[in-house]
Amino acid sequence: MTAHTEATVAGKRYSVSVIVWMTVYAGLIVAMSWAQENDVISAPWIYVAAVSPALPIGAVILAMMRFLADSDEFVRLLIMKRYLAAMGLTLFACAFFGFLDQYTAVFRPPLWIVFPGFWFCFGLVSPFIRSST
Amino acid sequence: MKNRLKVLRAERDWTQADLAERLGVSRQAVNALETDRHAPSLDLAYRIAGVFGMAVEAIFENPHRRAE
Repeated sequence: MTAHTEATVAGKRYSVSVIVWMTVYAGLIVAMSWAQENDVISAPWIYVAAVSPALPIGAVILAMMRFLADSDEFVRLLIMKRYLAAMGLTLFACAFFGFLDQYTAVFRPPLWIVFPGFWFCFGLVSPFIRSST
Repeated sequence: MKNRLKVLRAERDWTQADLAERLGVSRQAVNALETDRHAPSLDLAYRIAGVFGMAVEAIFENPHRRAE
């Protein structure tokens, strides 16, 4: 397999992993919301089920790390710059809404939105970060 | 980092994918090198020099070289 093909395979594997695990993540959130509203799960299983949507996030983070490891130096640096910028924006948004809630109690977004929010920020910064330098 | 990569590649009638394969990197990496969007590591710079059979400074302009 050539280096170019390997890079393409790594990119495809990463994309498929992210799509699959984010679909599982969304599915678990929908299922848990339904289960909570209809009161179909009781303790102690409710605790296990409640944290289950966090597991796909761990899988996506592992896929991100594997993609970085499989990429060449340019792609690795580029993606890392985008991750850092997206993380910075996400942390800023968390602090912004955290203080808004702390002092005004106007708006309290759920914590689970942080991870999709990170991907939103990643999409937002990517067109502006096209260089590794 | 300014370089002669595109000219050297064109002289050999190689595509970006051809050069990427010889260097063991992605085509995006070759494109980024040619368009000055990536400064190569020392290892990659030596690999590029090896592929073209030239010295690194014959391919990449040394921005730190002092005028004599």
